[in-house]
Amino acid sequence: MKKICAVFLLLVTTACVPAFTLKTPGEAKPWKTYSVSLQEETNELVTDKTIAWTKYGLALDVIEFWRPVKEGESVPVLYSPANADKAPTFRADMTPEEILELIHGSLRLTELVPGRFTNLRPQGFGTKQGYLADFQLSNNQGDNFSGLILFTSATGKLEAVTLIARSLHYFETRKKTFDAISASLQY
Amino acid sequence: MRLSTFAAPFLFLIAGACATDTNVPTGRLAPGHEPNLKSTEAGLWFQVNKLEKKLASSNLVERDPELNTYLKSVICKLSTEHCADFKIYVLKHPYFNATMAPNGTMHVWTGLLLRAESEDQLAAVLGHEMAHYLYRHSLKKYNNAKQLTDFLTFFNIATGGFGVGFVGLAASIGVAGSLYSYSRELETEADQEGLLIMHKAGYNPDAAANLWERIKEEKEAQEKAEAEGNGDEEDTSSVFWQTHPPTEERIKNLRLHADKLKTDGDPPFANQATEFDRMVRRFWHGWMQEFISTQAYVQALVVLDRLEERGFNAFEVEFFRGEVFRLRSDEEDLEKAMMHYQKASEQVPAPLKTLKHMGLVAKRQKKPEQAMNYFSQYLMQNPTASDEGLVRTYISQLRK
Repeated sequence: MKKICAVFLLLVTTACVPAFTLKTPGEAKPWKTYSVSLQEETNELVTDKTIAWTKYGLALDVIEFWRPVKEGESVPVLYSPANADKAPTFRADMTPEEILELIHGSLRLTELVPGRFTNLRPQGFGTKQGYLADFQLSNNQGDNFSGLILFTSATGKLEAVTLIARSLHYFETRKKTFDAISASLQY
Repeated sequence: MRLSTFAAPFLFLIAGACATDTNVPTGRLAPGHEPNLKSTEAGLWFQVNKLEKKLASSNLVERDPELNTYLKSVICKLSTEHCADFKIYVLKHPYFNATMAPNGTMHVWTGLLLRAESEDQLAAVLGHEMAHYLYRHSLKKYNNAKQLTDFLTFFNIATGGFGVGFVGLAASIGVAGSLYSYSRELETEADQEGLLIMHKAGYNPDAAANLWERIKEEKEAQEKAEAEGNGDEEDTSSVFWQTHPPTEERIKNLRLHADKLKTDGDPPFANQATEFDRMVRRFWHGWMQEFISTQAYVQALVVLDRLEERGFNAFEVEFFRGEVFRLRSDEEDLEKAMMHYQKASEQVPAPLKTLKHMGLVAKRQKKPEQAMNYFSQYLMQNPTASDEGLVRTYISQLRK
């Protein structure tokens, strides 16, 4: 009986957990709003908030394409359950610095501890005016992550591609892929 | 020599499996204490040593040597004989908290340093936490817990979630209730011993009750604002609040004990409180900005009032009040933000990013001419600012 229950629970659990799929090299169209070129096989996980690509596993590296954020919506980070209703929201007239403040404030409501966003500079998001910034994150286990965020609000929505990877080794390794994806981005 | 990393896990498993080691040695720990390798205490030390190793390389640790040396000096002032037994880490968390691990590792959060008003108040918290160590309160807590995981969850929450599971800081605050606090008996013991420690070291024992009252006021200000319908804000005092309830009874007892200590005799020497102020003034801008980013806006305003009372630069305090209202952005907040930024800008040159943020507010208020004017003034005052290119972009966008 115990074995039957265990198998049943396993089936229920696996049915509910979003599954990874293998993404082959070629053109991809995240959220059907723009296209990027993928040069290598990667693992893809699609949720209602982001499309995540990881090579070594989500705990080590992830490139995420955010679902476009409309005016009045919160940014698609994983809020702690008690904090979801406290999330600040996006305004279309935000400056790039205000957008980073929004993201920083949002991350404060998650299970991560955001460091500072630095080195904000203009960089094209395809043909749109976009911005790139560096950031640091830590989790409460004391692990350090480095990140990059490329974003635009030129369309009236907040569109972003992020790289988050372990500061040690994985960030530098995956930065090349992030740079290539950013450079290939087209509307 | 610290506990053998090889032997300890086995001993801990054996101790945990048998769960018969429930007799916690009584009395105060001797200086240089090392637990018996066959004890449950040794197992706990092993676990927290592992957490500490990971924490040591985390970006969350504030590593400024001068600040760390200063804090260590306060600990050594509090107890010369136990000075070497304590290790201290300053964690970059804007919440009010301090913790003590069973192996003498103390965590002090930047939110505490921003709020403590003197070295005496800092010494009150450190003395209280030292008492938890000296009387093995963690071990007593462990022995009272039904399972090891209960204890680790407690420690995880109290330290902000390091090492065991992925309990986030913000989530932890919500669940850190009375279940995870020390018993009233242990808290009372830590309060009394903490007062004794600080008084012997020459600190004013009144500082303990004063600090509790300050934290209580902060909490009350937030509750009042919520009662008036000003939103459901983050509570940055609640980590410590949950595990150290500042009840009227507690404050009263702290005052009674402090009065008794003072009548028993003067401390042997006076402390050098100015050093504490100098340290906080070096870091407070960054700590305050992080504090505001937690969206605990009402509490931030209370803390800003106190910083101004303590003589911190009034123009810089006004800048941060402006930040509170700009980031909160409720009805009429932009007007309030502008009013505070304008007060800040009366200092020449205007402090920090005042003029730029006035430009941001004017832009949101659909006053492009004003916004351009503020951005231009900002660039005149800060021609080599790192965000110069960005501000020029704002000006050119507004011209269009």
